[in-house]
Amino acid sequence: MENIPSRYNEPYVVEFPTLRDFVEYIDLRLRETDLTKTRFKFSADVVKVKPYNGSLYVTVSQETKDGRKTELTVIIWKNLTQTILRTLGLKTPYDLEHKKWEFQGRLSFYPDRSQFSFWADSVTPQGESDILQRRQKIKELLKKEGLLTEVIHELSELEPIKYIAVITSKTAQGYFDFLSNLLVPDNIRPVVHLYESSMQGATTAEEVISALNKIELFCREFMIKYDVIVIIRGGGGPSDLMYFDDYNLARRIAHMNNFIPVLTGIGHEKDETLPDFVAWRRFPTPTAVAKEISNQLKNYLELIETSYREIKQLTLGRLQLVTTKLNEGIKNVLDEVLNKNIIKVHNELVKDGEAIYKLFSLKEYERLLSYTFVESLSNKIDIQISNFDKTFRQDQSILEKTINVNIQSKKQQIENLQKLSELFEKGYAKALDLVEQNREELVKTGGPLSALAFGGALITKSGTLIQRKEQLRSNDEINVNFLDGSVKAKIEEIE
Amino acid sequence: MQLKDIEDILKLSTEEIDKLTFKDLIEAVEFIKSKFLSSELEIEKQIELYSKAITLLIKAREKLLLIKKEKEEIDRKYEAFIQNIEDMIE
Repeated sequence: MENIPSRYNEPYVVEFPTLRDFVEYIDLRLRETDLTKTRFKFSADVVKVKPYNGSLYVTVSQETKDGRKTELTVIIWKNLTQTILRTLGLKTPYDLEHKKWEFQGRLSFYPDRSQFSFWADSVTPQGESDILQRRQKIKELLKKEGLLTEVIHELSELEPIKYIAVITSKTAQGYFDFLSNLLVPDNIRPVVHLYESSMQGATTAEEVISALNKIELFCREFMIKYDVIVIIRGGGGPSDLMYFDDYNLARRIAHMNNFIPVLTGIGHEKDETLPDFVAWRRFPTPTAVAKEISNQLKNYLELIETSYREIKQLTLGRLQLVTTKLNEGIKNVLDEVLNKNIIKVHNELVKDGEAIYKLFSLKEYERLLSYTFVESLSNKIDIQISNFDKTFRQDQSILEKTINVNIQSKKQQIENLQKLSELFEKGYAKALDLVEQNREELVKTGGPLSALAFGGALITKSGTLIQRKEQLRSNDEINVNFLDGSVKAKIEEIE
Repeated sequence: MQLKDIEDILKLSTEEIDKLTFKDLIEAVEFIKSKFLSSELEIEKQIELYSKAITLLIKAREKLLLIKKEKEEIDRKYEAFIQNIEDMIE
């Protein structure tokens, strides 16, 4: 920059001290534009191919209608040579010569030689038929190996998609479309991790395989599993998508499905690439993948809410029914239950009866209850009754006799008692008469003692009966004798 | 996991429910729903199953939701992983 003279800014004349300065100026100005950053695509005939240090220098030429010829050197970098040749199905680089090809890549300027060159990272055949033919060939090979997806899977077969690994280019429109179409509530919005890969040119397959490897490594290292892997790329012509038609890439995707389902959304709706045939589920565009994932999550959320409502409604309905039944009358319910049970029991009885009938026929019953048996039974019963009667009569007679003896004995005892009573009454009367007689005799002959018979008392002093007061002195001790006993007394004063 | 028996569903412990996938949980709920439509189910059993169905639905919802902490953790691991790869390439 420092070597560039200030008068470069002058509008009409730009002077350089050396040729080198001029070339460097051109290089610098080119870098300021997007000329070297933009991808270009063109078709041209290959005139000559020159391999050098593994890279290919391809001279392409095109003649316009007015006969003007334009030539350009297309360089295919050594790291891409083999991939491109393999993808194109060419055995040697010289097979490119004298054919028309479509080239994609970037422009480059070499200051040393003051030359433009075109670095191609994609070479594709002209015409779709060649691309289709090649794809078909690989597809048949994959089919033989059983790697093509034969069934159309639905995302509803999977658990809720919460973790997504996306393989695409960070700047691709397809990635933006994918993210902007993940329209779900925030609380169920999945985690999206980008695994960058070029989605165009000869390195496509190699880079997508590398991204798949990284995803698997991440999952195994951190014991985390993405729910799906999404490979997306925006639109493009058949030649743009041709490098997805890679056998190794298809195999890797097919095997990856066993670990994590791979979803594709490559190109437009009409486009098909080999990854679409081996993916767990193919979608026409990145937008379609995002919408289907969103639908899965929204449907699951709705399913939970609907199930909750339905179960609640069914339970409440049933409770309401039971309440109504109870309100209408428990009797009805009981009747119903009872009737059901009666019918059930009746049916069971009929069944049991039939079973018994089968086991125990009437004839068998008759045989067992034969006449001899009945007669024998009758005799036994008669003997038993007779024995019982006899014992009963004997016992009755003994009891009767015993009672009579006892009655006689009691009668005798009563008579004795009556006699004794009479004797006692006579004795008592006699005693009374004697007492009266004695009392009268006592009155007549008793003297002072008769006082006792009439409730009086006899006074004695030292064993002598006191009949007069002169017999007593003051302080004399005396005995006062009553009919039932005596008391001691002291004479205080004699009047 | 096949849950096609009422008693098996009722016997599920919290730990066993945790292990069920979202699809298992929804299938079990659908099975309960189908039993609810049958008039043979006793009301006591229905109430018991209703309670279980709610538990299963809560667990299914948990499996659908993305917890912020969980998201931050996996993002952190991812960034560290990518950074490590980039460092190796450089």
